[in-house]
Amino acid sequence: MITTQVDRLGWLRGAIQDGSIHTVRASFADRLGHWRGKRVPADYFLTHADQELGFCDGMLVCDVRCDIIEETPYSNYGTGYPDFHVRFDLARLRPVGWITGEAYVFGDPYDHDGRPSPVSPRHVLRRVLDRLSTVGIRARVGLRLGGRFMRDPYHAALIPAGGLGPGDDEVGALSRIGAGLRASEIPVVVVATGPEAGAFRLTLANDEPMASAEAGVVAKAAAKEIARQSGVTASFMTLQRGAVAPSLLEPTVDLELTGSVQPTAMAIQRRLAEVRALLQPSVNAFKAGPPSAPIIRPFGRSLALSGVSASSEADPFTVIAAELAAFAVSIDSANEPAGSLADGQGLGAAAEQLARTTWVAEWLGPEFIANALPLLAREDRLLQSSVTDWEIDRYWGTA
Amino acid sequence: MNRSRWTDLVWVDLLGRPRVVRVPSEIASAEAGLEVSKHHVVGGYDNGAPPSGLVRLVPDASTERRVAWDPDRSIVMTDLKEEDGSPSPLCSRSTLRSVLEVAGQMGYDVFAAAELEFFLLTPETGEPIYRDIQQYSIIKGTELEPVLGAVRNSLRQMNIPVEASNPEYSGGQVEVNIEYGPALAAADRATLMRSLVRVLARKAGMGVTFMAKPWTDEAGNGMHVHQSLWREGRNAFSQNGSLSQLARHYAAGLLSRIREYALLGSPTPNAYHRRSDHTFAPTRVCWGTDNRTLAVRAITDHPNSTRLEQRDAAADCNVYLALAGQIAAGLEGVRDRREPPAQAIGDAYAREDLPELPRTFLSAYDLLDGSGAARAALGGETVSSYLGILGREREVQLRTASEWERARYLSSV
Repeated sequence: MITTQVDRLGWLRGAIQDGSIHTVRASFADRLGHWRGKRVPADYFLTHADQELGFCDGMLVCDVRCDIIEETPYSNYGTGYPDFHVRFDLARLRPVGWITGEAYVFGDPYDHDGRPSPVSPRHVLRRVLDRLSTVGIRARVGLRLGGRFMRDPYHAALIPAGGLGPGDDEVGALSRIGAGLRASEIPVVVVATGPEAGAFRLTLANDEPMASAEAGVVAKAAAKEIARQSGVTASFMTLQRGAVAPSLLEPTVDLELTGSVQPTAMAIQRRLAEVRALLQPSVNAFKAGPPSAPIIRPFGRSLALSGVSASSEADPFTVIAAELAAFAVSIDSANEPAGSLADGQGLGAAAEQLARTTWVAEWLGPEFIANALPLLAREDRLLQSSVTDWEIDRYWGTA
Repeated sequence: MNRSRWTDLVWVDLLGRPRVVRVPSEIASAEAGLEVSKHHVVGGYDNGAPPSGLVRLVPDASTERRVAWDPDRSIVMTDLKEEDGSPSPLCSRSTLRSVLEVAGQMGYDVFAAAELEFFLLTPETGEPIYRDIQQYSIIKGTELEPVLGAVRNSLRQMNIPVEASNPEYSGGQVEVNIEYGPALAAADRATLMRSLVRVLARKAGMGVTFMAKPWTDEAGNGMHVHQSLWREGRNAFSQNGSLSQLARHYAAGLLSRIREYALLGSPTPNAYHRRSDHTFAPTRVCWGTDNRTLAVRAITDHPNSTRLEQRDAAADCNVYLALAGQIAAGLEGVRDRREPPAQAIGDAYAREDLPELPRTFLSAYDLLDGSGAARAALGGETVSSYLGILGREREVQLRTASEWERARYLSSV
């Protein structure tokens, strides 16, 4: 496997020469794990790979519909929406396995004054990993990611209720997702269908946390782009019309510990409840219910942590960062009695809980939280001020 | 490389739209050049009274490009000459060239890039091909690759060095970035790009518009002009990691003429609908560091790429005249060692103390009409001809009852 920056650029040079690559997706992930960037001609990228690429910094703190708001202190009309600059992680340059001719690379956003952008989930995860290493904890993370193929917002597509049987043909979309991701060197180990119509699940093997988070972003994009080729939509919205089971993002974590104190599952669950607004960042995601208690399996000085469920629409970098931080904080509070779970009535209450939770700002960064809060609260307000289909169905003509 | 059989000789009319005559390549290279009627050079959005006489198309051989999708055809930019061999005042390319000669006499090369936004349309409806905002979205970009991939690859084959493309901040709106280069080449590239994008979009079953403000509630299409002065191969706008004194003089020049020259970058009544608060199109005369609410934005991230970006022009302008006006203004600031006002910080839309940019076509027209500086920098006949065709636009606008007026007043008064 190619692992160094020099090797990767050499690979790109060869791929340009043999005509197999013409474009590089020069990219970053936003706060919701959406894959953003510019498409750059590969030969131009090769000669400018050590340079930064500028983007409007509003796109690091926009909402799910790309709306920008004045309440985010990091970026608003008062700050003038300056550029942030992405420095690319060239050692992770690789092919887009499901489309011919393209490669991709992610990078780290830096402010216009050169500091790591505190609202970039990639920096947030790195911050958490750095802090974990100082207390002797190393993590490897895998992901299970659920989604749905939809013909339109009301009807599932490709996969029948009950899932696929042996030899069933779902026009090859699932196979192409699996093959495409593996061609992008993403360690997909299972591509499966769920029991409900349209439902599918991708399982990615454990890897370095940064690589896994990036793989989660790419996996969602691959599913969406390949579904589009089949004339349908792949959606990671948590609960869809008519669905019973939510689409979840479930990290599986292996932790190497140097200390002997291990937190209880209940202690971790309590911490996760405090950051629920990051794990379930939409009003729809909240309908999936609160995060469950993790399953902890010790192996000597290591332990495996699974069963924690975020919503599929959440950003993988943020989810992994929040779960690892929750674990570390729970070590210190392992002997504390388990209190009642933060039982927010909705996203707005969860955002208020997040604002009250001091450890999360310490671990993930105060600016990250300060910019997430107004977006989360606004999402809740938007729902409160919307007349929903349910209200029309229930009250129109009878009230 | 074998020569192509046919050559498109290209000039732009005063509105910046490329015009073409296609000739056998051996004729295209004839020194005497072809003659065309001035009627085709002036342009205009409708048929006004055509000027009489002829101009000669003189090919600029350094601009020859083989058409990426038709190896039998080349494109060459031309300069327009009068019968006595002098540059025609109707030739926007020559106007820009003359401003660049002034820069050369002052010891500077001018580098620029014109950054253009445009909408991809569904041809049958004329509506954007999608409605939700998807700025920088990689996944949305994948859907646009039949056009944008072809644009990047074809234009690079044609020596138009595209460096990136991405969805922009409005549904269906995109941006294609071209590397900075000598200012005349930058204007050629932007002008050709506007034209070539149309062809490639049509091949992919899509339409295109560079119209400044096609929809009231959507972002407009801007042309941001990035510019810097270079001396002896070094960027003279950069000094010790920040903006040089020379760049400050240049910024002062840009700001001092930005109101008078607004019509050069925004040549339609529609373009002034783009100028509204909190839309990322500037509305106030101001400058500062890396702030998208300002009219002139200083960008200082790297010595070689330190530059000033003037953000007020519309994507449907005459690129040559817009650049000529901006560069002439900047050079004027350098020549007179002008000092710019204090840099604006924060939300410039909220700064009611700052002078406003022209908010209507009529006010911009009157400002250019009254500008002695424009006539001195760009040529009296050039400015008069430009005002002449836009004067008709002014008349038409004044006497046109719009859909908006009918919707608002018809049944209410």
